[in-house]
Amino acid sequence: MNKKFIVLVVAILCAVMVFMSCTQTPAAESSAAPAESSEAPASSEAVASESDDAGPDYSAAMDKSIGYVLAGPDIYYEQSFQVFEGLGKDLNWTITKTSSDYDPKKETNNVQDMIAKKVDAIVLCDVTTDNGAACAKLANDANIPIFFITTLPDLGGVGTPTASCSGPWYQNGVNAATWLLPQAADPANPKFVLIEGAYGQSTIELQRLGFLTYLSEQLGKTVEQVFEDNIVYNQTGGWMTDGAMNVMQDCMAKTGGDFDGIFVGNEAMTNGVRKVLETAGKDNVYPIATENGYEETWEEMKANPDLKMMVDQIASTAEGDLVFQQVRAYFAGIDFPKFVKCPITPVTPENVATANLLPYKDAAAYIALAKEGKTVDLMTTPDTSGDNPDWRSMLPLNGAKSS
Amino acid sequence: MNKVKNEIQIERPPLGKRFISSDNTYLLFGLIAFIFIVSLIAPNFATPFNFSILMEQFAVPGIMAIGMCMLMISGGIDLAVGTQLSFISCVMALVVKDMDTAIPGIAIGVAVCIAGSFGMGLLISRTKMEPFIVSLGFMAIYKGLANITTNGAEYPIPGKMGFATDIRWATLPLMVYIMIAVVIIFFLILRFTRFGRWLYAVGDNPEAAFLSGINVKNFKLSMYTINGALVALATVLMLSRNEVGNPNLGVDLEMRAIASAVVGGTALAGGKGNIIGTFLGTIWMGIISNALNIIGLSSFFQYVVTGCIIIGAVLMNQIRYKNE
Repeated sequence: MNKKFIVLVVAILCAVMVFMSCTQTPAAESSAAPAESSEAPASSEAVASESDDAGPDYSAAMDKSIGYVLAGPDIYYEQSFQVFEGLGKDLNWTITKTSSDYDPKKETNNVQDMIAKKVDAIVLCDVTTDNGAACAKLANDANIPIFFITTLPDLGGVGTPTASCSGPWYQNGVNAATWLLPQAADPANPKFVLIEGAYGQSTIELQRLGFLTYLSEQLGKTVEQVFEDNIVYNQTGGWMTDGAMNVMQDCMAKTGGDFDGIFVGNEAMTNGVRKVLETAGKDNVYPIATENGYEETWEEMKANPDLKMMVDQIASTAEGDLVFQQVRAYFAGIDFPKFVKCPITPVTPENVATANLLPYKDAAAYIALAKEGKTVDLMTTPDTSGDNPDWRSMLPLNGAKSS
Repeated sequence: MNKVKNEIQIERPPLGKRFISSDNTYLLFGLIAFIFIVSLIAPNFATPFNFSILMEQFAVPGIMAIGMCMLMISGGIDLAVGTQLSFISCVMALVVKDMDTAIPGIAIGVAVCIAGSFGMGLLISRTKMEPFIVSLGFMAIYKGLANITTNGAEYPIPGKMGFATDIRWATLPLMVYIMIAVVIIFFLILRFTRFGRWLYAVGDNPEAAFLSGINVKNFKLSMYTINGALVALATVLMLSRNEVGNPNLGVDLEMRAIASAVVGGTALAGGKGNIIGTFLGTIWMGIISNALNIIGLSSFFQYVVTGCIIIGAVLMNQIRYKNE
């Protein structure tokens, strides 16, 4: 009886695996490849004929298998993926998505698995820059192109990325400081709070570096002096709303609310920060600079012209679009800018009505615009490979003002 | 004399019958069936390359599962092994980076790791504190220490100690052979030595073990210390593989070690378990993620499937032991 039960459980488990794999559309498509590829020539010919008239020939980029490795569960990464996947459908790409859960060893495992799966390309949003470089080496050794997204890859590391599209994090920091400084009670001696994202990815370090560098130029100090004199609190909220709430509460307790403005690493954390300020009766008292570009934030800005907020639009949907174009160009054998940054647009209540706003949470709307050519064009995006400041100098400052 | 000796000999069942009735047999057959079925769905799964990376991926969890298995057999548990690995990896990487050579970093890291486990074992063996609670506290302590050591970032040490994956025989990296050696050594210890018999005795009935002359307190202390040594070994291999000391390097390893031991037949209450079953449990825990990635299913399914395997294995063990 026990032996039968054990065999039954194992059999059920195996049956569930088979069932799940059969119901998975990309796997079903790939397993039915012979029939579907015989139909594919019509669509690829259509693509070819259209592209003959309208531009490059992407027929060589059809029917590819892509491994997409996210750093962890975050709407930013997810939106990039959704746009990448949506645009990839037109080229009949089979995309396997996996997440590293912010675990470096899991990231290495995921990249190894994609190599074992013999994908045609890997897209990686790395957990940390150094682990990402090691993963790039794995892909290099396997002769599989690896494209980085969101985070800045280490161009001098042990592995060589094929291409990347990262966020313009340094510029975001500069923009935030540019907007916040004039609003300080004493612009010659401002006090700011930094609510930061996950450390070690280079993202937050570049944001901070840009922020401090701009202030150092305006105040005639070194970056270290600015951090010492003018940053009253900095700590990571882990990119999450609840994390930022805890950090902001600690900040209010430590500083007593004596600061001029807040630079928050992303909008999810901004939501947490604003909840805390609202509870403390300080809603819309402190100017807040942040980035992402949620659709509801634009609506709020339009409805409330007095809102003290600046949001740098760094739409992850555009990142997914640019990386898709890079991968497509790579397979088509077309030369393309290898290391680009996502477009950035500072948006405030003053210019929200006229700014070129891209869909962020609505991936379907973005994809529709992308197919009409109304989003971003890789070929006109500058290659910024030589334009990345050394962010590692920021590492010792991670969380330094929170104790 | 010989007649008396013969009369008290315990008659063991034939090898074939023992093989059929063993829990490990069903784990093994289930694994073979799983590999066969996944291979049909995804031909890239059953390739030498994929098996070599699989072995590499569960070398570290396997070593930690062996330590956890022995702890659990003795009636203990250690929830801190994951964060302990993270912290020790940061310490090792810091020293390696500063001294530009691996040996001092490894030596210091191993010493700190074993000392930490010894300290936890001392607390557990000398007081009436629950191992679950004590190790939970140490889990938080190690997590904090790891982040303090790196200030929330990480210490990369590329090219400084990659021996665990750089040295290979028959496509398998050194770390795999080390894991296999650990499995064999501790299998032999638990099966054929007095230490192994004491382990089961202490876990099954500490009072009876004490009355039979075993120093239960010192034995439990030694178990935590041995576990600390295995965590140190696992840390060296993990750091050698990833070449970066990171506060999140050991995330989830404690749960994976416990799950591997439980799937392999180790009882949470103590007194039952075996090394081979734990090794097979490690393979089960590790193969799911790889299989799902190769098939092309979202990796989020792995948590569901892993949970089902754990529950199924525990249920089977409960039914089996209840009938016995």
